[in-house]
Amino acid sequence: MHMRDILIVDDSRAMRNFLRRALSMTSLEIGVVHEAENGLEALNLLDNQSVEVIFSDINMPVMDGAVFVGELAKNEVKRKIPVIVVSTDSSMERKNQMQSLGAKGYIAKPFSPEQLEQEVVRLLWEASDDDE
Amino acid sequence: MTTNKIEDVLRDASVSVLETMFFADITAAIEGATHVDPVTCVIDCKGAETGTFTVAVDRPALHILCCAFFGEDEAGPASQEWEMICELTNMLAGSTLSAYVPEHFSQLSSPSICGLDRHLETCSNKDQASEFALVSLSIEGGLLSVACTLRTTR
Repeated sequence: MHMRDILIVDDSRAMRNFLRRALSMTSLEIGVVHEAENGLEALNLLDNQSVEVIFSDINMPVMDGAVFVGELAKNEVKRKIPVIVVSTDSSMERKNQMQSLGAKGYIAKPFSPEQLEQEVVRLLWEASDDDE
Repeated sequence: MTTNKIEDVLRDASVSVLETMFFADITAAIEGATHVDPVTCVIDCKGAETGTFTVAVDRPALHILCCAFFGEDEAGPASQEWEMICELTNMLAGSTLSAYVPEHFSQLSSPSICGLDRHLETCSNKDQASEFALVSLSIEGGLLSVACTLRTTR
């Protein structure tokens, strides 16, 4: 059983709780769920913790999601972790922006646990293809 | 469907958010229904569209939504309910704007709790806006209404 450690980056405690709960409602084998309130806190956490998937909000204080994803891309190790953006903003402009910065997935709110699972499976499948 | 596009978009977004994230059963509000002891939240937007969204939820309905959102049998302290209505307001505004202007994004402010008078003010400012919509929904526990006034800047 491959348990996958996850990082949730969102300044909303309510949203972090909801994501954690939604993940538990999927068939994904989730290990440790780390949390950070902003991009800077997430970067610092990743210096000491290894995760397989990152879920990130965009609008956050201190360091927003766009800057966070950009900072991840500068690091050889961290850039390999797939980032799924979770946001109410599903405009093409925003999706293109986050993709160009390095985000691999995008989930627009509202979303169901099934949609969450589909996106994670797709990303992890693509990541395993890249490793071969 | 109505002849007011923003109202249709706001209604669809509201139903989608409430059903998907809050597992709520929704029906159209009875005409003339008024709020009883509501909690109200406001969020501003700027960018492709500039304006304001306000959400008012009757307190018993908010309590039920909070339990559903957090997956708990009983809601926690009032602060948790305020946190949840802020998140709800954020989602309603974001989903509506993304559907209304899918090409461009609008920046949302941090949502904040306010008085019902702020919600009524949003409704009364409709004549000064390019677009106005008010959607009232009946959910378990009471009434939920969402109002938005927008001014196109693109």
